[in-house]
Amino acid sequence: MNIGNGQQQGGSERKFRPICEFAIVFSLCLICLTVTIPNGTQQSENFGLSPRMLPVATIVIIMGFAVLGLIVNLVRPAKTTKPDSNGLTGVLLVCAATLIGAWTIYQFELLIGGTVLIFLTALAVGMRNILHLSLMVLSALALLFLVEWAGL
Amino acid sequence: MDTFLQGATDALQLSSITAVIAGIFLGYAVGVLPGLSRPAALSVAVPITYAMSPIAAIAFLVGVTKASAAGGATGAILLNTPGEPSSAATTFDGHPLAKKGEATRALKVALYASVFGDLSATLVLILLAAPLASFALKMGPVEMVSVMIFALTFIAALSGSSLTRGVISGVFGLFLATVGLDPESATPRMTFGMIELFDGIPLIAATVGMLAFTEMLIQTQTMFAERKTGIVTARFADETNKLLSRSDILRVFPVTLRATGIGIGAGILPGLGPTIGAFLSYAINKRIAKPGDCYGKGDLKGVAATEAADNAVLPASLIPLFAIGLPGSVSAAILVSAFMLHGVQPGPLVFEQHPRLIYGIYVSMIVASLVMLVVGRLGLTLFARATRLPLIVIIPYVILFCVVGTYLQRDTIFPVLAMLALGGIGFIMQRYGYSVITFLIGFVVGPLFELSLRQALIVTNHSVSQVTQHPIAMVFLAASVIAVIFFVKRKA
Repeated sequence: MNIGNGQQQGGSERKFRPICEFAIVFSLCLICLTVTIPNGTQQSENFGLSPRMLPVATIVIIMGFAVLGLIVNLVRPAKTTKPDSNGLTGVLLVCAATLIGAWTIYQFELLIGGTVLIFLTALAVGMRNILHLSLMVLSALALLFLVEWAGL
Repeated sequence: MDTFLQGATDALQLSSITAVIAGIFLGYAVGVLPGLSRPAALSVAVPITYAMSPIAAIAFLVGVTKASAAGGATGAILLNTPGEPSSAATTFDGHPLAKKGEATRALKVALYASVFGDLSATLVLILLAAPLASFALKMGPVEMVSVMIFALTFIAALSGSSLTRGVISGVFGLFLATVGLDPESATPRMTFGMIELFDGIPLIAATVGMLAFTEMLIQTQTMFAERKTGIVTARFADETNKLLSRSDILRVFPVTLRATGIGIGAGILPGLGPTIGAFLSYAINKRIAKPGDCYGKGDLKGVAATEAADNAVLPASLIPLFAIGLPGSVSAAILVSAFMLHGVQPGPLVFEQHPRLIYGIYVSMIVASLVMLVVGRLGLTLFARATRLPLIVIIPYVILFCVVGTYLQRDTIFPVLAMLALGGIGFIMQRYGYSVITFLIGFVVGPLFELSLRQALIVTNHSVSQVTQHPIAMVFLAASVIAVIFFVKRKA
């Protein structure tokens, strides 16, 4: 599922995009194979399969399918749409608000943190009506009280 | 018969029925809200039952479990944010239906299919517990690996327009599922000294992050893009038809029946659980779709396929629990603790030691299904109104539930950070056509697949030829090969 009202790609871009996609996927796989898995997983001398077996196997399969995808896309370029970059500011704002809210929960527990979270995310998505904003904050506060009281 | 009537009388007492109703309300709330999981709600509910009679306690917990399974569909259909991981597959057709202006019809099918699946599985539990449990005992590691391989072949069927991207997403899910302690040697894998990662990436963080949080980011982008360009498209078409016709019911019924069977199978086999059951059911029904069916684009059949299977799992998972003392799902395992709290040891002797209680539980389960139907039907109109709320209000609340729900899993910030990170990854994946659904199938199936594979290798002494001595495994492997051939032919 692609997002937004993307634009149709031109001929050269149709070939450039699969190469870029392949380069990103393949290089991330190489990093996993050479850095993440060896540094994060010890070899075990126990019986049975190595703990690295499945992580390595999955990465190799991904690399294989990345190569296959590149060949298919170069031979038969698909009519894909370029992802729309409009509205990414909103995504960044919401992410930032959520991160700050999560940090507040970590520092000041659920009640205060949750209230800050809904206040910031509401501001981030463009809520400017003071009355609506206050209602949202108060209802969230009541809900969080209920969660705390229920012991969830 | 006397014992049955005594049990039924216990189940129909006011205290038991009140407990069921309370459980249904709690379960619905847990099911609707993303992040609050069924096992978490059950864990909290078990101590509450301490002062209740055994029958009222179990009835309450059964109510919580059943309603949370049914309630999970509401968020999936209306907001594309499933309340439960097992309702993730309901988003495939449920949300497109809501967009087409058929939210009420989708919610109705979800409710009726849920109740049908649940009620049928309960009747199977009552009538066939012993013979089905003996079948479950025949499912060793080799058989489980073959079932998992069968489940993984469906990644191809659900991969969307690009097979390679779908498979890459699924295998990426398998890869992330390997984070944590190695199941055989307990060696930490890719944990980098973080104790929180020893149990792996939390499933609830993965499902909430990949589905609910990602969806909110997508909706935010769409909303901001519309503000910038000034072109506003309606989120949902007007609801012109809210009724289910006779032809709709006749069309959906065979799928519901099939899905119930698949759900019962997934419940009986320990470890599979409702999420795999729902995905399997959707993929199988999609694969055998008739001309004119439009799975993935908003078909009532798709909603019935996942919801009936999801709700059939719990009653079926009680079959091995009652017959041989082996819980078939996480929820059933938590129910064991409730049984023990009230002095009942589940297992083959339970029918001899507590026949009145068991019959009482059976009747309570049927009562719970009927109460669920009434509560769900009454709440349906209210739920459907959620589509009228503006995004500017929905997004902050859903994000709050995502964060609070994942935070409550462990009372630490780690699952929240994992959820946010996976939400970001999910957003990028969706943006470039990588399916988050196949990712989740790989992630859910991964741990059980690896464990079964390792056990199978030990059982067969690393000899592939020994598989021929396992006829059930051979059947599933043959089915996997046929499924792959069928899919490749269809794509060609």
